[in-house]
Amino acid sequence: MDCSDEALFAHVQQGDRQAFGLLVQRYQDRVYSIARKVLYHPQDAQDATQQAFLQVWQKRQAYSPQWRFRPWLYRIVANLCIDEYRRQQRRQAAPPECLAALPAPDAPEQDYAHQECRRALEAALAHVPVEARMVLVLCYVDGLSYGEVARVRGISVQTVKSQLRRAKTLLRQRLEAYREVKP
Amino acid sequence: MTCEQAQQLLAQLTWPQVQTHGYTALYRHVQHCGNCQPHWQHWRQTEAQLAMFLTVEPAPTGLWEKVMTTMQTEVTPAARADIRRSVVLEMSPQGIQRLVLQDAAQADDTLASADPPAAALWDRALTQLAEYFHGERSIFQLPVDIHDCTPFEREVLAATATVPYGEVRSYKWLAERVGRPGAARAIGNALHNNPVPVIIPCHRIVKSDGGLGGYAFGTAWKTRLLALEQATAPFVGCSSTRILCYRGCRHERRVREGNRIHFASWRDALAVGYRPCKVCQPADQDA
Repeated sequence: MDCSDEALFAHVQQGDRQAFGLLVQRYQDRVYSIARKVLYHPQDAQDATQQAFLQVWQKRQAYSPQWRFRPWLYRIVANLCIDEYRRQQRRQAAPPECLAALPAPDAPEQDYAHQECRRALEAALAHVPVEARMVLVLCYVDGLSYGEVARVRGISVQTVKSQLRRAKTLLRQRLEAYREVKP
Repeated sequence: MTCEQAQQLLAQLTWPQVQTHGYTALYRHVQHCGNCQPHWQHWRQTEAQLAMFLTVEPAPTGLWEKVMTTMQTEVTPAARADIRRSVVLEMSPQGIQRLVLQDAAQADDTLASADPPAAALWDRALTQLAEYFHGERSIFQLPVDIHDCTPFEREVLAATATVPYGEVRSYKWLAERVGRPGAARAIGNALHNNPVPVIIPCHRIVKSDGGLGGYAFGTAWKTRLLALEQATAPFVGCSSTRILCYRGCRHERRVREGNRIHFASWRDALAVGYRPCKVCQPADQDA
């Protein structure tokens, strides 16, 4: 049996819930990770993941085979996360804060250093505009190429490159400032 | 490769791309160029951090089950097929122009539209109607096109649309509502010409003496619709968030089975500490 995403999704389009369950199983970690890196809060990320899969199911008839399934799914996820992020920004006018959990008091020393580094990075990422952050997340979390990211976001490859450059410049500046404060 | 090119490339290059494509020219350059070495070291340091942070992490336990539970509330293809047999829809670019209820036995499959936007709307309308007829929806979120109606009819239909799910009003009440207290019969005629019944709930208008009154598709349909609405609680509250939604709201779909509280009236829910959902705004609409 052909178990490619597209073959499974052809069954989903016929209303096959079992095939949909397999696709959810295959992609839930990646979709959740993308949402988590953009929205920070685990609960928001979980809600966005649920909402994204629900939209995939509801819009299954609108899927065109000219798309591969993965970019189509990621497009839904990216749009949902960016909309949700903007909605949150409107609700709380304050800039996003670092929301990484602090290490547990009994965590070993090296875990603490690891968490410190993670916190610094997360705080730095919070200052990267959400569109550029989404590009960064798509490139790293699932290793998408420039072309695939461009397809997912509906922008040109050149814009993907410039957003990556922008994101990384901002990150570098923030991380350098962090290292100076805390060598 | 020049230093400028190497540094430009480093500014946008990600570690996964280097893993995929190699970039040997860049690698060779930075290994031997003292000018680019600090940039390269810095790039590696940042990339190591990013690669450590931006990884795939396991989804929380139970997420798959939650997604699949949400799906269960979706109407099945069989239910959609049933609705497709009982409801005939006509679309215009502005919205649903006409809805006809018919006996499921007289199946008519002349509904599909070749026009993609209308097809998308048609699909959405069919889903919402199927949910309504299965007691899973108490509001419609669909555009309607009633431009062919007279101004008076439009006024009557607008007032009719405010009658809440599960409740009834009299022709007299509607006549007063549109500022024509003596025109109950004209109101009846306007409702008879309602091009989009069910979506604009003209079945919720009955006679003031308690009689059912007429219905364009027969009183059997009117009885069926009213019975359905009487049997279904229009509001669903989430006991963990204390948010109240109309049945059918997208947020209502995400409430877990154990947290669902059904309410017949939004006032009851508000009285016990629930607040209206910001999307479907249950309390505001029928206030």
